[in-house]
Amino acid sequence: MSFEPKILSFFCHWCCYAAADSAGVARYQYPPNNRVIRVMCTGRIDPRFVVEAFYVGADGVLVGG
Amino acid sequence: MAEVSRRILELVGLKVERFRIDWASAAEAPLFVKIVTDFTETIKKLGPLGEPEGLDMETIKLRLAAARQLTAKSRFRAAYGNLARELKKAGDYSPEGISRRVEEKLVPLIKKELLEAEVKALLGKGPVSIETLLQKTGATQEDIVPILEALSKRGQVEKQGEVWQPKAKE
Repeated sequence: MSFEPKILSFFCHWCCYAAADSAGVARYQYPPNNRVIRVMCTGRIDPRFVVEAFYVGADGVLVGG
Repeated sequence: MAEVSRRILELVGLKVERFRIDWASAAEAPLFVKIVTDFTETIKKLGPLGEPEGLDMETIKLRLAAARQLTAKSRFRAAYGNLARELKKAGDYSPEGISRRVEEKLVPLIKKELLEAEVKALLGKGPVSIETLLQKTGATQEDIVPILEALSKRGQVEKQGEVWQPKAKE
């Protein structure tokens, strides 16, 4: 079995989250490895979140603004 | 934020490629798909946490626990906030400018606090030799000795022959 990474994503409500939504509506295909956390703004994200994500076992962290 | 996160990961010993920040507006679904696909590919190539880094899970947990403590510490929070204020005042948001300031103001603090937390965690489990400490923390001799000395000055640890151990409370 190939390695399926667990990726934690923080998406801005107004940008990437909406982009993800419209990608879904337009039926674009993209990998299902993402766990998305919506934040109201990318500026809300703190190094603490990133460290915590890796601590709880994420293989990668993506921030989408 | 991104630069500080990267520095912490670097000092923890993880690949900085595991963290990415990128932009796609609400109208750029294709770009968003590209970013997510690219990033997933990168992580897939890297492999599970610890594998390309050559670290076992126990060491990673130890170091990330230290990083967690660090990011919650008021000293770190204050330094981080001050840095943000300084950046705003200087109006220099170039990656180089940010990187240089982070290197100057934050990296020494991060390094010290991380190492101290790791040493404390290791010593909390019982006596350890300096070799084990060096191996588990990935630090250099010059970095670790001042920390051990500071801790022993505060009466939290003591040296017994070749091993360091937590000092028993009287």
